[in-house]
Amino acid sequence: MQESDAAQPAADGGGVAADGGASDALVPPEGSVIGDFRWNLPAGFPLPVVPRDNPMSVPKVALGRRLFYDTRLSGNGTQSCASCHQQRLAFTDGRATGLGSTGEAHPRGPMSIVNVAYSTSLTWGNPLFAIGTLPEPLERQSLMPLFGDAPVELGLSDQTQIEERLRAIEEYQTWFTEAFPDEAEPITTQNLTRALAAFERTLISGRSPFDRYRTQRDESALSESAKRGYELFNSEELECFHCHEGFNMSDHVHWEGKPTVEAHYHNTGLYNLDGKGAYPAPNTGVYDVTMDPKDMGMFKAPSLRNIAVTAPYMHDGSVATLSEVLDHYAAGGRTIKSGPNAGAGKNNPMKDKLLRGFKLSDEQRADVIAFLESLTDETFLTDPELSDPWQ
Amino acid sequence: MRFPSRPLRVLPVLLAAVVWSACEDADDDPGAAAGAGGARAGAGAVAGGKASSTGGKGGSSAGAGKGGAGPGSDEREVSIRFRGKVLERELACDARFPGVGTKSTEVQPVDFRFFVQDLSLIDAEGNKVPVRVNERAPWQTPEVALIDLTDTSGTCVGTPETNAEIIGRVPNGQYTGVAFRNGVPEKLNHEDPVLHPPPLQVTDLAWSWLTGFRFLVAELHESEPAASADADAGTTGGVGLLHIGSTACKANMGCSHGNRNNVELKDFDPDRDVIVADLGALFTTSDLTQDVQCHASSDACAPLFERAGIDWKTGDGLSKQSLYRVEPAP
Repeated sequence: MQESDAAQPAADGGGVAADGGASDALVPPEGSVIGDFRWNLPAGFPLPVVPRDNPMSVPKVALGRRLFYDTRLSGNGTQSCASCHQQRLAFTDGRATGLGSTGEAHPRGPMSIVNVAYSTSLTWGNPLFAIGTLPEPLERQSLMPLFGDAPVELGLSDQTQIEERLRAIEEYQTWFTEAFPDEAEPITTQNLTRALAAFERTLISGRSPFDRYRTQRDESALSESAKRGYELFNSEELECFHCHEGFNMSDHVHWEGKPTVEAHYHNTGLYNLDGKGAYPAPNTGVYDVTMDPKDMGMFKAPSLRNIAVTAPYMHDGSVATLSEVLDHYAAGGRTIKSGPNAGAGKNNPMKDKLLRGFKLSDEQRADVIAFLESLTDETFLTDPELSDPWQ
Repeated sequence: MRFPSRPLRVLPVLLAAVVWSACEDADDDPGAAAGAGGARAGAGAVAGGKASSTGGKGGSSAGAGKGGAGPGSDEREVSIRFRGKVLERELACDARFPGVGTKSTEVQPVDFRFFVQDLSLIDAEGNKVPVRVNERAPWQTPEVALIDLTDTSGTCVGTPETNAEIIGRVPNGQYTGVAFRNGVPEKLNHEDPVLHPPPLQVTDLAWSWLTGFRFLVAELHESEPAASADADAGTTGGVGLLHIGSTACKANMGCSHGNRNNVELKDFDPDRDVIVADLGALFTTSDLTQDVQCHASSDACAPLFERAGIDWKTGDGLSKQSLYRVEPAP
């Protein structure tokens, strides 16, 4: 049963692939062409939600891509969005935690922004940046890395600074005008965030070997080991699929026409500093925002797409390899024996009840990892349309 | 940590002199004070503000009580003036201030800015009379004003521009006190900052993480070279940092900890007195050889919030605060 659920992941969400089999799923959903813009959606992917006031367009996406890769978007000109969100690493940076333009460390790792268009809420665990809460969550979220100072990321000080800087660049006058043709002064911070968000929404990955197997019934796309790993992933022993479900391998997804907004967060027993479930500050998850004790250690389940290239893992990069991730879940939570973070995460009172632990043979472990590796989408990681346009 | 990553600049003594004279010019110019609030906005912004890094004088005594009586003249213009201090000394970005905190640490200022809402004068009967705050870009709108007591000279970061006063109108009468809150009104606090005019724009004060604003930013650090710095241990010396904004926020439900104080100061005559905002007093109970940082959410905030007049556990204003006091205008 889990097999069939996961084999047509969008079907349980109502309305996308549900009205057809695998062959219908190859037809792009209605609405995937907007003027000159065409969503390049993989088979089985629903239409992303786009804010009413920031419709997609070719010039806007092109502008957003230039901005995304432009180091002039940092206060000291040393970093762009792409410094921490690198295409070949599925838009992560390979570090445990991020490093800002002034050398300040971020407490958490840069999250993969692959398929961010489908994420109900943004960042590792902030329920405020969410579809249904803000009209333009992705646009608004970008203010944080651009202007935030605790920690400093890109390190812009205020919106006048970046607006004046961009207005002084002749090419941007042209590009902003093309992207926002109805506006007399298109170079504004709002339009900067709108263009960035439009580009980010095109970072869609769903053409991995696993997808060829799943939607095109290409038996040769996966090794036998990966197929066995897929079975294990969806088993009631491992329970992975509960949180990493559907077309985006996450229970934290939204799309156009989805009737309810779901934003689930989970405590996976990584820490338990005080026996009452505390995570080390400031990485307390949703609690950091709500200060509600039951939100301690709650983070969203990230998409597993391209997971093999986004090590190290977890919000703080504290797990180095996929094999160690499996150790953590097999133990039903992580025990740290000494040091400031010592504690039995397994006994964290907020821990998700599905994390009961499991036993895995060496062969089974290799199988699950082979499955996770089959989620690597080389087409996406090397797509020239998503690469640095300044090079 | 913030200050070590920012370049430190030294305030040229000459600049201070120039600013000071410009400040006097502005105050002495009767034309600047005679017009409506908007007309003297520019001068007020420069005069009141630059004073903070050069000695806290300036302000706008010419504006209070005299200028701007409109038709009917049953109300008058008033300027509520702030003055930055570190304990007993004038706040200055190029100065060192000994004797702050529990270890009597020598400190240097980094940033001192706050929003003011619900500004009232208190009449002789104890009634709060709201000040009708003028539009005065980029510092104030009728709903909220920004006081910025540090420029970018010396050890300070932020913006070069400063502002130490709020200009508005009140009914004629005798006033003996002042009341206000550090905050941005709730209906504006969670709006998208890119859609608002100043002072509610994306600046260092926008607190994107909780989709609101920081109502108060107060930062200083141990004087460099810090006695407590230990390169081997990776410490760079003491830091005092207090950021206050609304916390405990839930999607679509707002923030249950408003974290707005209720400041009420007696014996305040707007024509003669200033409100001293004391950066040092915020950290009186802190050990400033340590890294004392409050970003509003951690329980390390409780004592600092209390100094600012807020109960950290509930987010409500307290009846006492230690940040502001009244002193005669210089």
